[in-house]
Amino acid sequence: MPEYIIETKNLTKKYGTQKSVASLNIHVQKGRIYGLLGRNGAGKTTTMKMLLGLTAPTSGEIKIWGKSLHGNEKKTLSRIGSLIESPGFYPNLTGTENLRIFATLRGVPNNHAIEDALNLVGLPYKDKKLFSQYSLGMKQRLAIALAVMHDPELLILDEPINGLDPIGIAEVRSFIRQLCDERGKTILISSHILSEISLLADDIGIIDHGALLDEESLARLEQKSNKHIHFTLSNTAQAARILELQFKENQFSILDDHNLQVHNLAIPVSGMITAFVENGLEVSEAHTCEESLEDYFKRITGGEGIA
Amino acid sequence: MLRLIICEFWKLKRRRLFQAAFLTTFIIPLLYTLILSDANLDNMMSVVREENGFLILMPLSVVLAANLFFEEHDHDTLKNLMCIPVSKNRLALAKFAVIFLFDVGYMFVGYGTAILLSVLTGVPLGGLVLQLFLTLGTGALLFAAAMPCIFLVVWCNKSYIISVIIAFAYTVFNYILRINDSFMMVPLGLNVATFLPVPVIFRWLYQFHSLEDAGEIMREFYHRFSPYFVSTPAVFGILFGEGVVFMVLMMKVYRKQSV
Ligand SMILES: Nc1ncnc2c1ncn2[C@@H]1O[C@H](COP(=O)(O)OP(=O)(O)OP(=O)(O)O)[C@@H](O)[C@H]1O
Ligand SMILES: [Mg+2]
Repeated sequence: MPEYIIETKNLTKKYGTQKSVASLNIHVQKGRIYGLLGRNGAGKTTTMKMLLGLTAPTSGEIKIWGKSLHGNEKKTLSRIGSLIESPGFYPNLTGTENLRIFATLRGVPNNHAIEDALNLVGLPYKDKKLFSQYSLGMKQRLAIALAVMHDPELLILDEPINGLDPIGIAEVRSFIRQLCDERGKTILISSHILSEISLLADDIGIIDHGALLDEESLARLEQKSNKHIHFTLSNTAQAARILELQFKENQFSILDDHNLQVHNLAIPVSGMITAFVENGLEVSEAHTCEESLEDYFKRITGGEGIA
Repeated sequence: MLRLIICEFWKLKRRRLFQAAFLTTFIIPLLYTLILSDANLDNMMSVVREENGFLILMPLSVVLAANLFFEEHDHDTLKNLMCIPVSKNRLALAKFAVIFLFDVGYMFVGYGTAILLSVLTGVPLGGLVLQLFLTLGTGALLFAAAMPCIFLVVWCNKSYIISVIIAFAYTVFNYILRINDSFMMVPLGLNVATFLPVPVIFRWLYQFHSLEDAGEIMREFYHRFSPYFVSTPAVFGILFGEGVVFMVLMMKVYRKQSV
């Protein structure tokens, strides 16, 4: 039984009559990166806000480090670093001054914490530039610095790469990876960009219209989503019988009278074709299909373009 | 809590409005000395308290409060604070503390200005301790007197401009009240006049006017008015109570406003 840092049970949030998050059960394991993937408006931000106590769930339960969040906010939140939606800072202060305010309120003891955090995200320490003069990417970097400044054990990052340039994205990706691999941090990250999540996450939760459609490790998901052998032949019922009797195989699906997919790639294609033909079937087409993670994602969210 | 208050002050860095606000404290006493040749310290201090205080500081405190209470929402920093976590009640208390210190500090600068101008123009100094007490006391009372208006602003949770309009309306409204006998000349008790903060403060302040240089009209007014003076414990008691009530209400409203 893996150790869950975050666990939700039937977590639900209603705004009016609309359910933004519906009976969500997510499981974030210790020392892993969990990617919450969903289209715009899927409920990623709402979920994260509930995990941070920023908004109260309508129903359901949140457990962080095995304890209910409700009633333990003070202890729990001080061990979490977070970034929710757009960066929020005081425009009349510099980045360093902004961080100093939050460090003071958090009681961060280490004097170098601010400098280290800024170094990590590639912003200058004690720069004169005010937050209002920052570029979008700089603002996002400052928000990431705020999230990691107090060396939290758990990071909750809502679309952390928003507004970053490709080099910035790669940098952030590699240091999130580092935080996880080298310092054992647990990270929950959300994104609507599949490729980003698949590059970074160990586990993926796919959320759509507030509901969790799938929760798997990336490896399992890739297996699940991808390859199969597609046959177009004269009689799928008979072909199915051949697969069951001759190949002892039941991992296949019948699409219609003439189309059939075999999910077990271990069986040689030529062997199956020979068997079909010997039994009097006409095989007009056989090919290996590779469904990308993206196709899979599109399929289960029932939607058009996402990535 | 102290940390929260210090942070509130850090947040005001480079906010020109508040630096400029302190300059206004010099203007009225200066004009007063320039226009009136027979200025005396007592009158000068009254000007600091009554004009600087009730005409300028009152709307300024409300505008400052609107700024403080809207800024976390405007800059989207509330979520960062809540995640620390900082309780909204304590945050609100820190903001109250800033407004209080601003009010008292403003009056203190006014006090200093009046003394400076007196020294420069050769007006004799006297009763400085009483004047200091009255002036700082007025600052503290003004803080409480501004609370109902600040509550209104926070409760409406509307734009900055609306807040400024509310602030000026409240100031003018109070100015009218203080020259209106039906609110000034009422004995303390369970009546509206007792609970209107600004008239009560004036009924406290007026008893300390020195009558040395006063003319006949002034003396006569003083005598007619004297039964309605409010004692120091009474004025602080009433305003403390009102201040607390409105602060509690405001914390309730502030807590409800979402992240
Ligand atoms: N304060 C609110 N009041 C009413 N509805 C809300 C509120 N916040 C979010 N919603 C609704 O909840 C749903 C989920 O929103 P949420 O912000 O969680 O989506 P998201 O997955 O973060 O999307 P995005 O990728 O665009 O950031 C949306 O339909 C949104 O309109
Ligand atoms: Mg979002």
